[in-house]
Amino acid sequence: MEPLHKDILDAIDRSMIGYAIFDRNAHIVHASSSARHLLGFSAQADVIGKPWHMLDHDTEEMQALRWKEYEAFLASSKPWQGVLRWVWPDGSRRYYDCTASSCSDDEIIIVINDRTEQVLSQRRMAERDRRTSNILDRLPMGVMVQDREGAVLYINRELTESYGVTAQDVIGQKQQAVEGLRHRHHIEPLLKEVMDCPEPIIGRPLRVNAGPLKGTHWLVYVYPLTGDNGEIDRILTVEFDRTERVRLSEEKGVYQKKLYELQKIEALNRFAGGLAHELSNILHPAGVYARALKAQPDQPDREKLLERINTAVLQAGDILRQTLSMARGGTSGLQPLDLGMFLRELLSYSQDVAPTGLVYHLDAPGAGLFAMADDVELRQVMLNLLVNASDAQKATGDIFISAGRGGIPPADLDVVPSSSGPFVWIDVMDEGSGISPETRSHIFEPFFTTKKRGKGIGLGLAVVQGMVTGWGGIVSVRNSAQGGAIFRVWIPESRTAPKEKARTGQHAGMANNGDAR
Amino acid sequence: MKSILIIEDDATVAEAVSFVLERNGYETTHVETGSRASELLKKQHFCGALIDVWLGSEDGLDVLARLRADGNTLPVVIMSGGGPGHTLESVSTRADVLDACAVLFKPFTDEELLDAVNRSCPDDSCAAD
Repeated sequence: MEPLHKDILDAIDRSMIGYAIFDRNAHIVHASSSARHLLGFSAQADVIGKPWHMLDHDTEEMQALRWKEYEAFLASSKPWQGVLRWVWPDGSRRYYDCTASSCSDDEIIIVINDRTEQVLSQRRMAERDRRTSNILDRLPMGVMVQDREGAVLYINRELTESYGVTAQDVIGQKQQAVEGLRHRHHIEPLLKEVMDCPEPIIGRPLRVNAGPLKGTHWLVYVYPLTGDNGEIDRILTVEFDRTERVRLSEEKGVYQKKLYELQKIEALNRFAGGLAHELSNILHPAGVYARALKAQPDQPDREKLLERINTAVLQAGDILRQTLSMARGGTSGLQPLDLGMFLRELLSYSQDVAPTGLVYHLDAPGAGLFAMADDVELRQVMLNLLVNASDAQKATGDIFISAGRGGIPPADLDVVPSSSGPFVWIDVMDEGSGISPETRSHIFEPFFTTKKRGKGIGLGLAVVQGMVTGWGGIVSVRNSAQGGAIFRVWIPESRTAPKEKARTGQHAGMANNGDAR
Repeated sequence: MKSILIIEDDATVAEAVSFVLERNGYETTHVETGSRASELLKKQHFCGALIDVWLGSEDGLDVLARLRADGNTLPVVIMSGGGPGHTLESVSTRADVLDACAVLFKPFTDEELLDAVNRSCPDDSCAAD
């Protein structure tokens, strides 16, 4: 060996890259100190003249494989490059980048560079990837990572199964280049959107209109992922199949509508029954007294009997008027209302005409609470509730009115609001003795009243509920901690503010015949 | 004088029924609830009773059913003015089962009332005094 070569080799050896020289029969002719160290031999160990491939503690099969590889190298007469696995006496495995080349006719030089740490860390990474992939494959959602050009870097099982492809077919390919994934073009606009404006897309609902997934519904999340240089180099998409959920909610909608229709029919039946009962009770005495007067026009209590007949006619008239106001269908008057402003106006007017000793207290936001309702109807609703509250506490004391937003109506009501919200609400709280569970279950039924005849005919709260459900809302009732009743009017919230001057209508003077309680 | 118990929550109807009966030789007593009627029936003799079906929160036919369950065989005439779930057929059928003498649908004529009451209690010796 040329001295210059030896100097160079020694310099390399000092930087922990070892070398060894074998003869063609694989017997060691020379091993540098780094080579000895790397291969697990002491400086004094006698290795010269021994076959190199059998000097570690690997299995015989492995050593035989090593020999075959060595023979192939000799036969090819080309330099060899690869990784050598080597087992130390303590059983630990080492990995070396090796190059072997002929340095003369009968001598081979092999250069050994320790790569154990790198190989092991790569294995750990591969193991981690495998575990992550295992987890991702078990998730009931689609996960895909693509590079900027759209080539697939990762696809999980949910997606491969959905599109009928295999991961091997897809990895490294652009979506359009893979037959099955061509049907995934509904995702393309989202990818473009994220590339154009690097903000994640959170939960975009998509309906697939073509391909094997036609008719399915997905919720898609798209996240741009940045590389070490801070640039977006990959895009992660996560896709949830919501088809079943959408189908259920559509089905629910249909059933809810049918239920609503049934409720309307049931309400109509109840109403007809109630109306019949009320009118027959009013007409019967009128008939009795009319016949008595006809038979004996000059009877002594003639005036009293005539007055009874007159009262009956007036009561029947009251019922008919309220029936008409309940039958007044249509919600063409729906418009955004500023509830705070509406309530301040209404209560200042109501306070003016309230009996002495009855005080209304209002707690409502100054602005920004918008309801979608018919203002004339809302006025009637509120006046009905205020009269009821007043009756519950013998027209004296405090009545608290408050307004706010949020929450959902209680689920145990007989009717379901047709709007799914969000809702704003108005509470009317009285200081009465509250409402018993028995009364509560009937309180919104037509002709239900706890008041004496002449005081109420039991239509007020039915009218109130009818109007509020007409706007998509509902009225619920509960007892306060103090024992009084709280009626809550749930009204669908308006996203838009009322138009300027589209205020709360005139102070409509209302007929109100205070009801059910 | 034959005495009739009127069980009716609507005072104006009770008054009109009494008006006709009293002018035709009956004595009437009016109560508004089933429980009040039961109490009274324990200590006082009546020749018959008129029971309204819709007694506010209770059902007059349930009141009659309780009387019958207690072994009371008082002749009873049912009055009905309708109401949710109270069709003519359903009231008539149940009244029949509970051995009511007649069912009157309001508004009924004075003759219908008197005829029903007379038929329910034909025995003049029933009168208390």
